[in-house]
Amino acid sequence: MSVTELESAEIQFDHPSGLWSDAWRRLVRNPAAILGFVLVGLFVFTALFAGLIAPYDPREQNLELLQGSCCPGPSAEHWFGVDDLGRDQFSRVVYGARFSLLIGVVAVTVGVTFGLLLGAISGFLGGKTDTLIMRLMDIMLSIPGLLMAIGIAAMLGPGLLSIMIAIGVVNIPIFARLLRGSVLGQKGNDFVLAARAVGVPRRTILVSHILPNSISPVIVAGTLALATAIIDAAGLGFLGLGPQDPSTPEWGTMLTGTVRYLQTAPHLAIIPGLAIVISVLGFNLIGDGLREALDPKLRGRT
Amino acid sequence: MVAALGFTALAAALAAGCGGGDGDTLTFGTASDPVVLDGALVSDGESLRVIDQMFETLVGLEAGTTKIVPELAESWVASDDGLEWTFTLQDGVTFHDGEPFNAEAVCFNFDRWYNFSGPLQNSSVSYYWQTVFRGYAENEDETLDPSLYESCTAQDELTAVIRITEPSSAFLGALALVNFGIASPKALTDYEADAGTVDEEAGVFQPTGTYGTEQPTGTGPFKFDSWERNDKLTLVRNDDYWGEKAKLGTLIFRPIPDNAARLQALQTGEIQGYDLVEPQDIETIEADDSLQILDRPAFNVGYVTINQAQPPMDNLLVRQAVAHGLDRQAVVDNFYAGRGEVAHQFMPPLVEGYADQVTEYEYDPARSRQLLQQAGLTLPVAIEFWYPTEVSRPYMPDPRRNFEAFAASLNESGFRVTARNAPWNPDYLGRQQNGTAGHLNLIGWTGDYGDPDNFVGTFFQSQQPAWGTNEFPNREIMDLLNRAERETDIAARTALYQEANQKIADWIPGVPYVHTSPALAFQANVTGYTPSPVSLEEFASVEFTEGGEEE
Repeated sequence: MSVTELESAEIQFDHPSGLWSDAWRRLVRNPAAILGFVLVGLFVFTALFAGLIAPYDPREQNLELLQGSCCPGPSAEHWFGVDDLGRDQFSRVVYGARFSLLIGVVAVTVGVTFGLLLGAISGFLGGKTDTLIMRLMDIMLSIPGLLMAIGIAAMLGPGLLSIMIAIGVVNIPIFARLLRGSVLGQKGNDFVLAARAVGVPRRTILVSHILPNSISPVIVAGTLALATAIIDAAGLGFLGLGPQDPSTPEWGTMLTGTVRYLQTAPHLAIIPGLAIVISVLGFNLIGDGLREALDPKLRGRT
Repeated sequence: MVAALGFTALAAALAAGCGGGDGDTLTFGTASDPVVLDGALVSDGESLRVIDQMFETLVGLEAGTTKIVPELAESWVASDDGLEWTFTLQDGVTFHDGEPFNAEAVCFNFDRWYNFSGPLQNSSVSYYWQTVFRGYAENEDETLDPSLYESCTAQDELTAVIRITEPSSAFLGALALVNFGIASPKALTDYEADAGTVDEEAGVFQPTGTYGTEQPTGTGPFKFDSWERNDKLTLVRNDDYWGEKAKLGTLIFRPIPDNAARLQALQTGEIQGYDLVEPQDIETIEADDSLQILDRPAFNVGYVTINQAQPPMDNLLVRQAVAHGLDRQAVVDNFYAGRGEVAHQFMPPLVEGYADQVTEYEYDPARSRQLLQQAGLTLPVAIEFWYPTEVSRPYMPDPRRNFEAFAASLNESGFRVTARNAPWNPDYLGRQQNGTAGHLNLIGWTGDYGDPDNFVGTFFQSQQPAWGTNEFPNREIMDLLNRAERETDIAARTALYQEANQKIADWIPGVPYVHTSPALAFQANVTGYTPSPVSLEEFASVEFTEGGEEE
């Protein structure tokens, strides 16, 4: 055995697993996180294969089903009943998953991308740049999230795209601050000093050494932000800032007109509501599981 | 089961406790408190409902219709030129304060309205005087027209002669409006009916005198008793009434703004009746044996406006395609709880001047596509279609739903509909009226009084941006309507309105699609309430049937 081999064996002994595999093991032993994965899996599966799952066209009206009132509840043909225009509620909820997933992913991507950029620059450069960016983020954070989203969506004009942008923008300061804190923490570490000492360019230090080590809180926050984004999207849709075509099977939009029929057809509100709850719960459970799994203080306690 | 029994017992106890439904007292749930009890100064339905029980007008409407019948005037005759109207009054009528009703009292009232000044000329306060008589003795607002009213003379005790400045066929019918109820001149003067200010924003008269709040004095079958603001307003039987006396001893109006709460109050027996039942509640009420639904005759029209200022809507072929592309039957059958009928004209059938036969446009997507191609357009034709949010009207209880059904049927018919919406007031109404609400938009109208002028006259007699300012209203229709308004011969007038309706149906400025019967709800043992198309309903003939005491 060569010295190198011996050393590496020693290292393996000290660190029997890497950060990620360690976290993974912790995660799969957490029943709540497993449930989260199942719910999110169900949600993503439904969204991807909506066309195969849904028995009807979500926009196809069938006014004869209403029989002069509103609205027949669950039956063998229509598992979740029909809505106030005789459209199959099950198919609409299934297609709605697609919109929620799309809005959630795009909005969080927007938030994470710009947040990472601003946070990393701010944390790494420090000084006046840091002050400027962070005060800007503070201003954005001082406005309640949903309120700011409403403002942005109203300014851009209602629609799917503006909802995504609005929620994304609201997420920017959250990620920027998170990453800045993380970068600041890493900046003083020995391996960063070492890299500097040997003359590694600053950009490379940031991208190859600091960022990979600062990313875990962002993953946790990102998962939780997905859940919030779905709720916010539904909220904006409910307020009429979502897709302008009211026949769009978006969960929030579906809830808009149901208040009028709460007494006679509560399923119109309950079912899209449940869909929102289930998907949000899934992301929240995963997010919490990840937080526990990635928490350095808990590391090694398995 | 136990809970249900308990609830019923509680309801019965409540009913007994309130003294409601004891055979002599009826409590009616209203949507809001009246503004002030002076017909000349209000235009809202809840004030007029109460005022109607205490006051009478020169002419009245036969219960449940818009047919003009004698009320305080026994008979009347118009001069040949239509400018002088002689009313012979009922003998032996006295006001609630004991003052005699005579020709002088009639003229005192007309002169009071004609001489309104300052805040009383506000268009929201004396709205109906302005609608019918246009202006005052001295108009303070330049936009007001000269008054239609000229003078009133008391020829003798029971003969009043009213002169107007030009012939008007709508004059007599308008006198049946509760707003022109005759009040005691002494009470009007003593309790300073005209003193007060106007809340500019809300357009509401705020009296400083006590007439409109404590001393309303008319000749009607009920007289004022007490008014606890926003709680209850109590009227009692007028035992000196000149006609058939009221059957109820006490009539209470209780404001309950929330619709669901009104329904609950009826179910528990706290009230015995209420107006403005939501369509989706009708089934619940009908299923309950102790409750009943009454239908008001259809006196409204819901329609789709076509804006001809937006190409290609200026093309008649395209408008025909729209008319054929709206599935009106499906909307009316499925969304109105069986209380709607498909409309083909811009006025309900019971109004004089409704044409026997107009061009009708059946739902026919193939025909629509063909018409659009004939117009030289490539399919699909992109159009913008607006609907209001945050509103419910008898002719469109849920506008979004009407819109979605129409949009689907138009998309079948060669159009591609883009949805747009705005909150009803002020955004949507503003856009609708100034013609910036797309190619098509949803709107409607409920009549104020039983005259064709109040429907087609309102819509088409003058140029309105809502229809697009390019071509419409075309001269022919406008001229017909102007001639009709000045025509005093009833038959000739009816014929003119019928002709106008046929022309409108051919020209298609918009597509009427529904007339609805708004519903009222009562306890099953209440009888004698005759719903009126214009919401003028007498409680004098209302009574509880035998066994009314048993809840």
